[in-house]
Amino acid sequence: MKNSYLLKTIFIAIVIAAAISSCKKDEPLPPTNPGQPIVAGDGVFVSNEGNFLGGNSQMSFYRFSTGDAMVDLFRPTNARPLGDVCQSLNMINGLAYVVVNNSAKIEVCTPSNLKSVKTITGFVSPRFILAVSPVKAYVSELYSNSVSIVDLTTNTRSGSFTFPGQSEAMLMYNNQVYITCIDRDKVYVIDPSTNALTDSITIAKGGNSIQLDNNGKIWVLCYGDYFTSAPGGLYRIDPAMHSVEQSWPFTTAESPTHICANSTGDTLYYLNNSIYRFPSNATVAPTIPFIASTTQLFYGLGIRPVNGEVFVTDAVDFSQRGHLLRYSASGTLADDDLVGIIPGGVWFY
Amino acid sequence: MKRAKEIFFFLFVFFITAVTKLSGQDTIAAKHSLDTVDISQPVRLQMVNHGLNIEKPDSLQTSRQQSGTLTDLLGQNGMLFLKSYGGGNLSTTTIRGASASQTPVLWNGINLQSPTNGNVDLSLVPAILCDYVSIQNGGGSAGWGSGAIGGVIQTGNTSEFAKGFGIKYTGLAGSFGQIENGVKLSYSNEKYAANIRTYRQTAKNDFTFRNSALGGFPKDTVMNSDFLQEGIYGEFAVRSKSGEHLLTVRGWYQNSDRGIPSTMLESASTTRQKDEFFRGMVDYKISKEDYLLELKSVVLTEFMDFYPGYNQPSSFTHSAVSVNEADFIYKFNKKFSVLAGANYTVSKADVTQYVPVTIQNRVSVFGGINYLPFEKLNFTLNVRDEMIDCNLTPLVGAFGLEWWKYKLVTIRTSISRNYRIPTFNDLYWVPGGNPDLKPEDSWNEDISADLHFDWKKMKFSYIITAYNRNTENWILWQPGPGYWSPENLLSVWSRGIEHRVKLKWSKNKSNITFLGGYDYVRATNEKSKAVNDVSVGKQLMYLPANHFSGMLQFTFYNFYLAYNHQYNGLRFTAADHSSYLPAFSIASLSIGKRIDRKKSYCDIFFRVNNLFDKEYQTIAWRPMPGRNFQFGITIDLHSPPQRLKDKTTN
Repeated sequence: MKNSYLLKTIFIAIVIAAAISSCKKDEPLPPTNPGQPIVAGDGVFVSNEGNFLGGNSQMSFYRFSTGDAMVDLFRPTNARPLGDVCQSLNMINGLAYVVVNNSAKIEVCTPSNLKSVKTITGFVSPRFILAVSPVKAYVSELYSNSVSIVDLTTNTRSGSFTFPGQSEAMLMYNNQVYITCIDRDKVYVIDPSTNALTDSITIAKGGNSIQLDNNGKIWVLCYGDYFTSAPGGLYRIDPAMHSVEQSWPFTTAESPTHICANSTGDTLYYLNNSIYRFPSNATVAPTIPFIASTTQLFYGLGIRPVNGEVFVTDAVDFSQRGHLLRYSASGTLADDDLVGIIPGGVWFY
Repeated sequence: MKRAKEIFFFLFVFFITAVTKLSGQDTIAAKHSLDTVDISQPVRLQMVNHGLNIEKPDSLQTSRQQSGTLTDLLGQNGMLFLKSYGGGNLSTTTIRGASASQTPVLWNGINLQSPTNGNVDLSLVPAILCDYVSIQNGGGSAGWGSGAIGGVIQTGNTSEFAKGFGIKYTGLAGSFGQIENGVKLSYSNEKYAANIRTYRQTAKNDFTFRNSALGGFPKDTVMNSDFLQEGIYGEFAVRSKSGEHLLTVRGWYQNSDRGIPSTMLESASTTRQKDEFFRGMVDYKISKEDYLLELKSVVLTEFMDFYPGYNQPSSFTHSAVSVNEADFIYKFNKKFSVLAGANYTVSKADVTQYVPVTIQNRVSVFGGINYLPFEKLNFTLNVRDEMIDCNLTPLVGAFGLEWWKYKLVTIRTSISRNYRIPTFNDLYWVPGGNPDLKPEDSWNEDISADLHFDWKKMKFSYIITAYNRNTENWILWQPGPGYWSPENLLSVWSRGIEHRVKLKWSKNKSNITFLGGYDYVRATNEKSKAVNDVSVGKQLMYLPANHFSGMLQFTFYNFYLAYNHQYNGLRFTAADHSSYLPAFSIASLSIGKRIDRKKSYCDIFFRVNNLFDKEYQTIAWRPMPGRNFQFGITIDLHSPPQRLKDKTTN
């Protein structure tokens, strides 16, 4: 008798426990709509790296007219995922070249819907693409000690030329191509007609971005070397002399990236936790942030050419969808939209 | 629907209890006291695990699991959710939503977690070396030290005396070029016991899959996924005539070489990983009427060489750990015993990404009491404190209570505080290592009820456990502007319910067995990391809320037929739940024959894995094999014990 009382008590406890154990459910978030075709001048592409090996990179598009972001453009249009670690986008000859780093490919897409018309393969770890002539483009590579060459008439990888290290950001000016190198304290100068390395300029390691200003000077931003704790710096280079005219040092704890400019090139911006800006003729580095980060992880930066609006991404914790923040030219927050995981690049169209 | 099934199941349980003539003997009490001492396993096991639910894979299953690795053993068994990169590649597990580094694997009582990354790759533990396996659900740092936050997987080796000569061969051939061979030679008399085991496993793992990353989802083949593992293990034990003294020496060398396949979205991989280790142990035990003493000296050396291919730098992780440990249990009387022990561990690592060689000294002391105030109640209290390079970690402890009534019912409950110290990678990795990390601090509360009853030819048991766990200072690597760095960032609340049921019907030499398990776990981070962090209150990534496993086995004389099934609920692959891997069910079917002749036996089986050819992933974009086949044989021959008897009577 006593036993059955005990068993009944246990039974009731079990039923209650089972009821509790199945009450709270986690539901996945609904998918986002691909929406209307993209019109040139109406927005900005955001390349979302996604997690390394996670295969969850995406290309988003934010429309100026509606103030809405479409999170995933590529997969609904092409019925397949974009790839692993989408690094960058560049418009060449009216087509969007989407560089997918760890899938070692470039998807050539029609910009209106990101329909892939060609997949260029044969790379090792492509980072950025730059057209150096109407028929030829360079693709920087992280792990091959070379720069790949793409034939733009056939959209195939036609070859490569050796490079002293990990090639990264590229800029063409006065018929010369400047390529930064992550693992060396140099920016290299290439003659695009012969693909020959003609010169190098000594800066810091970790050269990650390069920008031309209104005075015809080239700015190169370096984050240094994490492994040896070498500090980075911001360098102004005189392209005529191939020499450093001015350098602003950073501390080893700082990791500045994304030097960029407005359309006139008289104001430059970069990320160093927060957003900093300075006039192109400045002789001292800015000390007060233009737009301060609170707990956001500012990860990608771009300045809208027509009006100087600032677009910056927040990658949050790298494991959830990030945000695209839109600031007015004077630095007032105007909009905040969800994009994909690890939004790393802002590409105006 | 699932709820309806569950309720039906409970009604069934209730019905059984109502009509069953309750039976049971008081012998069950022996299980709860130290009267019956099995000193082939670490002696501390008897003192520190009270109040927790300890699961052992069913012996029916383990007899078919003499080949493969711990991944196969636990995977077939279905008790745990395994996160696997497929084939012979890295696989780790989670108990109750804890991370892999919060779920240590102990070999003969020694934690095998690497001092560098805190993980144990279950694919590097061959089944031929697992003489016993048990899973402790719930924290156990007071007993087993740092890392035992979610639970503990115990495995090890036992020496058997007076068995004569023995030779055991185990072989397995399977799809995708899988070949395994293992041999164990053993000899023992009353005084000495020795065995030597050697094994070699190879597989190509070149299975085909539907590549959902490519347009049109074409068939694709996994490349660079080959696997080689070979090793040798030797054990020598000597005991005194009385059996009170036992000295065991163990040595284990293993070498493995694996290709790390690319994900569906990468181009072909040439990455390789080579793991090599030596583990040695000297273990001395005294078991007297009133006390037990165990002294252990262990060395663990490990080389993990990673070759990513292309122009990426290779990384070499070399570590050596020396452990010296003493356990002393004093039995005042049948009701009251005391444990005192100490552990001194020196870990050393030489890793490409740190400078220079890193050494860590750890001293911990632990103690406990076990008290049976009366026949139906057992009470334990254990405490431990550890000093790492002169810094004291917080005092941890466990309080356990067991109450039982005949064989019918046992109620267990425990409260424990557990910890995990940061790994060398967390502390010293360049760039990002954070030397200021604090240990993870976790509280675990547990209650479980076991019901056992026999009715005619039927045996039934049911265990239900409810638990709660709060882990503070959970270490998480966070991206910074330049690189990742670990921080004591999360506050994780885990809670859940576990059900285990076993039903066995026997008649003559035939029986039908059903084993079932259902786990519900909810583990959520309760602390926001940043202004735009929406992961708070959401289930952690890669953790199924629902996990079900079931096995139905028919044994008819020597033949057996077993059906295993497991279901894993959906797992989120993003912290904000914006992406997930769908739920999947996989099944396997084994058919075999076991022939016993005196002390020898032969077991032959044929198994179909992934019976319904389901497509699934446990890690995003890592394909898992479809339907595949295995054929296995185990021959265990022992010299007739007759001759031994003659010898001893002389």
